[in-house]
Amino acid sequence: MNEYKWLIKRIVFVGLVIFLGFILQSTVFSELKLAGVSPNILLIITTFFGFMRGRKEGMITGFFCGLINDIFYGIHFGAFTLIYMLIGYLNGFFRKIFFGDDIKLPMLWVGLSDILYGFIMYAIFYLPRGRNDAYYYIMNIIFPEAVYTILVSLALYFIVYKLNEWLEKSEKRSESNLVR
Amino acid sequence: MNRKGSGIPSRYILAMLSIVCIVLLFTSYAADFSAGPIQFVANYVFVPMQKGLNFVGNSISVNSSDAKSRAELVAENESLNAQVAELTSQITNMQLQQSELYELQKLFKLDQQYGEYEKVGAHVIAKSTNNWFDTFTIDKGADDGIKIDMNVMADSGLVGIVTDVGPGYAVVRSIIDDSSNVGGMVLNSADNCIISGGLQLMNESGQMAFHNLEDLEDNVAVGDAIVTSNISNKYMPGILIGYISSIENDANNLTKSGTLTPVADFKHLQYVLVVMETKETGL
Repeated sequence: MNEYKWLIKRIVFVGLVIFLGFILQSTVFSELKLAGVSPNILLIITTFFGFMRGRKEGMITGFFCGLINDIFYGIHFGAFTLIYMLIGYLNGFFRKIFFGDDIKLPMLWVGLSDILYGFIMYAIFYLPRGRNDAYYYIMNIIFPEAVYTILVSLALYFIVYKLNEWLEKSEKRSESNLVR
Repeated sequence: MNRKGSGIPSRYILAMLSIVCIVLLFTSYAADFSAGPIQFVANYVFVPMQKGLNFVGNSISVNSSDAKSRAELVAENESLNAQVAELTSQITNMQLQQSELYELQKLFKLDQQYGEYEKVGAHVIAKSTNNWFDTFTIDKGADDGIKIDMNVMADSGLVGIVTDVGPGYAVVRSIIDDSSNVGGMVLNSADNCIISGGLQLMNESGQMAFHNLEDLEDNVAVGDAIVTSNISNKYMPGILIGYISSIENDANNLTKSGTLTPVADFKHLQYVLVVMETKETGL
């Protein structure tokens, strides 16, 4: 039973973060628009867990973030799930070069992930319907959203990082208890 | 991760979950399937929180829009006063015509009036989590009798259509959404056209595009009202959409296209009315 305790703890923690992220994004942040765009909190969460915890957890976090998007605001059920999952998985590769106290690289990854997300959205939902003016969408949606998302992720980073650190510590403790 | 690493390698999980997603995509595309049982979870977990928190968001956005300068307000007041005078005279004219119309309609036994649908009010509790599509959630759902394809109005104009219903919430796709198309009709001349939402046009000028307007006699002019068409297959007839702000001939010289300004204020939607009827087309 003790072996699974950390797992349950982690599921509850990640679940809570996703839950709060979605609630905030769909209510408060969708009203706080800057330059016509709102930040993508669920993408930040997916990216964070990707490079903090590795491919597998990034992927699973992304899966559920995308699933919530699909349930509420999906166009074709499953599309968001796939995009977010891939982004979580890709960020998992950065885990090897991730060191907590350096903030520049995580911000870069969040920005790149959001730009990637924007391009995929444009390519699968807009381009097939004859919206050819890619420059407009890049300059007015994809880039502003990436900048705004990076700004918000600056604030979120330390909260999620500290909580994750605390959780990892308690996981290690329970592991050493197990050895004893 | 080493503890978990003893399980299946992550790329296999990725492949598995991707296949699940793709299967979901195809089934939802082919069978028009929506979230189903997961909606119940969504209903009891997310919607109550959104209701509370959206109040915070709304009050912030209202506060920031309050900040208009005094000079602006005075100027606006003057122009509005002029408009009131003009509109009052128009109303008296209209009332005369209305009574005449009413008499004639009684004569023809055509007394079914447009726009007299039964409506239910609902609050907007959350908005789309992406910047590409314009959808929002309202706090009434299947339990209140809301069904898919019901029309949604605000400020006496068309706002959108219900695309997804849960027990206590419903998702509405607004007409300014990039993928939205509405069958419209010019009120004066009864010429049909198609009104499409577009993100680019809406962001740049707050307008929507209309096209395929057949107006060979040049009856349609800037300022004419466009309402939902009686031959639209999902929208109830006679709901006001907006007023024409520009119009031009197409290259084929048979149809016209242009832009219209919607009457509903899509930036500050807080309270909407759901029309409690769906269109029966017999198809």
